[in-house]
Amino acid sequence: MAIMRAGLGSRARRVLERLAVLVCPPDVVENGLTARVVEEFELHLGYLPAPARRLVGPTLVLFDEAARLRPAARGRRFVRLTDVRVDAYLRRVLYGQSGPLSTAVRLIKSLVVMACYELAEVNAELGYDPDPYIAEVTARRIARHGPAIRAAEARTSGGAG
Amino acid sequence: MSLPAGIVNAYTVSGDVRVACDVVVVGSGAGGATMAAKLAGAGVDVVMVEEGGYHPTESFQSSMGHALRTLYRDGGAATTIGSPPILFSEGRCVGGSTVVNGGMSFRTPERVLDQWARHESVAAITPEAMAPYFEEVERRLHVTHQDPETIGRDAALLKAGADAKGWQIIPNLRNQIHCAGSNNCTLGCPTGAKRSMLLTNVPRALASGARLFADCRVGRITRRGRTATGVEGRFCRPDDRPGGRRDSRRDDRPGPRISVAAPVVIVACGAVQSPALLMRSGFRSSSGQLGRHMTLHPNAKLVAVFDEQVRGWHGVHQAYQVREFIDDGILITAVNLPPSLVAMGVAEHGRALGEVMRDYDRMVVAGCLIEDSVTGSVRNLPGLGAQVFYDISDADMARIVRGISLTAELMFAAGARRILSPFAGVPDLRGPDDVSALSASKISKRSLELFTVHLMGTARMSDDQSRGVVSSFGEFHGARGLFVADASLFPGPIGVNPMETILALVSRNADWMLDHRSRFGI
Repeated sequence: MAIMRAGLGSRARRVLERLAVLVCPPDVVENGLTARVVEEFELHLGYLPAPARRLVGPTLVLFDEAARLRPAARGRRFVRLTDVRVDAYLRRVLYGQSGPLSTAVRLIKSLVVMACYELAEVNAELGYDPDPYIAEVTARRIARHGPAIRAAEARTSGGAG
Repeated sequence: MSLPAGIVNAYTVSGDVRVACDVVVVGSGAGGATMAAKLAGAGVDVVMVEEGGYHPTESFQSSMGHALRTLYRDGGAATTIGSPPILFSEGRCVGGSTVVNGGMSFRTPERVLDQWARHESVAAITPEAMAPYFEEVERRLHVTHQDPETIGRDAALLKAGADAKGWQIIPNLRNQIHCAGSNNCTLGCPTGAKRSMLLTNVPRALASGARLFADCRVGRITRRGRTATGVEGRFCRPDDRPGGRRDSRRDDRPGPRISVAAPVVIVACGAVQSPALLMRSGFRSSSGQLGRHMTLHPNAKLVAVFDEQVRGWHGVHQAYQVREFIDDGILITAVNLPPSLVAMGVAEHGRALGEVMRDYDRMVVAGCLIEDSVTGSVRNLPGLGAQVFYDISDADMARIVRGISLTAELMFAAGARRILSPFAGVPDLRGPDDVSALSASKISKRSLELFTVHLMGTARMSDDQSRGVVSSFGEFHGARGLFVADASLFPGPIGVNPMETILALVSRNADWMLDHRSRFGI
């Protein structure tokens, strides 16, 4: 089955990839998970309200171009800045400015972070692995309370009146 | 995935649908499902129309992203317009927000019911009049306390902190049958222990002969003059099948049409979508209050880090509420969030973010809910649809700072080592002295990161037509055959989780409607 993406253009996606490298913890990048973060981001993007969805691409491009306005950037776009300069630029936008661009980039950063910590590999590093735990407590529930559960379910689901 | 008998969705519908019935209910959440179950149980021919999809218990996963995409409206990322913007989430699935809420089931405080009876011209709303309906809801949904073995360490620390401070703390009442404590409430209960509408009133309605059309967005209520005659809408395809990806360039493609003719239309889409649907269908309230008076219980949270391993994701989503400050409109609780949501709120990025998150298993997420004193509004904007406008007041802002300061005090009393910056630009708190400084400091509205899941009051009930949008029993003033049946009915905030209030009110309104059924031709 063909995978359809959320419609980010190639340029916006390049900016997003660079942003993900900066925003995610270094081990995410070292473990080669950046592309997965971007994929998760784009997947979730498709479900956001239409205005937000439509604004993400142009915001990323504007963020990329706005880097040129900083003297230290020497006319370079965000994706072409050196590692030191790119972090300084990102910090300035995220934490040092107000206005629509900063607000929008902060929201995009939040979404990138969410996408990052949705990855099972990243959660495993934190010791967060809910599925085995859920299976364990589900089995405990049935073992301890099975008959009472079935009786209560019969009383509370279905049936008229 | 097979569908229960009586449900048609976007994947099983074969073409345009035209049906007739006695009552069409828009929405299948706390209000819609309850109304449908009671009316269908009394022999009324009921059709439910639900914008979201049908997702059975076995489809629920532990992925926040998956849940946001399948069970929530707009990926769970809607925000109010105002100062500050407030993130809000609404369920959008069969069963509505009851599928993704924490399952807290509390009666409406008596002081609130008294207020509605005395000052809002609402009839039959006294605690005595409502008691049978609360009892009915609690029996139907199996409202009870949590089994002790399912209460996690984060909740135990909240209780320890409250006890150390000498503050009143109560165990939660929840609609659950021996909840396993899987901590997956907001992603859909994977065991079926939580008695959401998906497992209670929706099946009850279907068993009594009701029909349900899922994946189906109602565009407008049809009418003849001021008489509602049914609804029209379209099926839509939320592409949540395994391997499927929604394409933003294609998601507005229209699906088959649906047209439901009915002498009674019940709007139960929640406090944002209900007024929006009524307004875009051309209904106007003579009081001018439709879409106004929205209250939303703003929530603020903090993250406390302990030396011990907490594993907040082991144990029930919420087990206790600190009620010490309820008369001041402040309610405190601990709610575990998955790593993705905790990380979103961390101001750092890169290496620093990774260092903060390494303590995830030592974190307790706690916060406060404020009974707001101001109101917002819902408006339909061209190209944007229903939008919520809300500005927080200075008084409520002060209450939020106080609520967070109290929560921080409690966490330090429980042994927290530090508290991550609770407001943007405010440094981490290292002990009670820092809390005192926080209480005394000036926090700007811009620094607040607020969210809510309690949206109420945009079609408020009152028999005084100059104040209310609907009557005491939900009938739209100045229209025929049109009712509202959700949290839009509330004349004001209630200070506690609203689900049980919605169910009890709607149950009462359904009885009233059945008592007067000949008037409505049903």
